[in-house]
Amino acid sequence: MSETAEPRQDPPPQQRKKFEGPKREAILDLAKYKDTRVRVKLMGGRLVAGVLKGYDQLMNLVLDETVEYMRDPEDNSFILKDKTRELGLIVIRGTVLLSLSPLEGSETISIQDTD
Amino acid sequence: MLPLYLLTNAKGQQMSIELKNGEVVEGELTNVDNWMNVTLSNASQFDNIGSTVSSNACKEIVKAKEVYIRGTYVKYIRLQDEIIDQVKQQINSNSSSNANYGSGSYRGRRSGFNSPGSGSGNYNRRNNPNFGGKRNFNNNPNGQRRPFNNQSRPNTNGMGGYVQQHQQRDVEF
Repeated sequence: MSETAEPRQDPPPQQRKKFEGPKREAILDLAKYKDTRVRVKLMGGRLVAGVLKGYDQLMNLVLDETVEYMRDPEDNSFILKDKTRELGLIVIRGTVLLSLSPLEGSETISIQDTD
Repeated sequence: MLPLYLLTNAKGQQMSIELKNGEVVEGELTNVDNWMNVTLSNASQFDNIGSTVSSNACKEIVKAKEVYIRGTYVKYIRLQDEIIDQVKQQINSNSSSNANYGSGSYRGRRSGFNSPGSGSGNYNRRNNPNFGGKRNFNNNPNGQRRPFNNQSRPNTNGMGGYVQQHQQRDVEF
C-alpha cells in the first residue's frame, strides 16, 4: 500500500512565499525618515510635525523642533493650520500614535467648501 | 477568506481607508501586519484642516509618498471588487500545487474533510498509512501547509491558524 507513496517534498522557497500571511515584524522602516520632518497624528485628535530623531519597534518616537497644529476651540476635530505652538523635543508614546507620514515630498491641496 | 489574508495578498492595489475620525486615506497598499497596521504609498489624506483661522469650512488633501496607519484606528477599508477573485485564484493555484500532502496530513487527524478533487482524495486514502506513520512530523507543518489547511476547513478557527503559522515561520527562518 505504502510503496506507491512518493517522497514528501517541501515546496521550493519561491512557491512558499507566493501566498503569505500577515506580518508580525515592523511594516514601516523608520530609518529612512530619520532626521527628516514627519507628520504624526495622535489619539485624541492632535496633529504634530517634527524632525524624527529616534524610534523603537513599538513606534515610540523622539521628535525634535516639534510644532503642534492647534485646533478650533469650538470644534475640536477641526485643525487650524496656521495656528501652531512649539513643543520642542518630545517623546511620543507608540500607543497613541495613529498615523505617520513624511512631510518631505508631500504636497497639500486646499479645497474651499462651498457651504 | 480571512480579512488579513485578503489584505496581505492585495498588496500593490489601490484602496481607500476610512479612519475612525471620519478621515479617508487613499493609496496603494504596500504592507499590512498582524494588527492590520497598514502602509500606503502615494497616499492622499482627506483631512479636516483649515488654512486660516477665520475660514470655517476648508478641506485639505495631503499627498504623501508613504503613510502609516495604526490598525486600531481603521474603521473600514474599501478594496476594488476584483481583488477578491484575484486572491481566490492565487490561493487556488497555490493549494492545488500542494494538494497531495496538504490533504494527507489533514486526513491523518480528522474526518469530514472534503478534498478539492476526488482524484487526489483517492490518492491520499491509499497512502494514508504512510502519512499516519509520520504524524508527528505532520503536526509541525511548515508555513505553506498551514494556510492551505485553513482554507479547506471552514470550521477551523482562522485566528489560531495563522498565529501558529507565524510562530513556526520564525523558527524556520
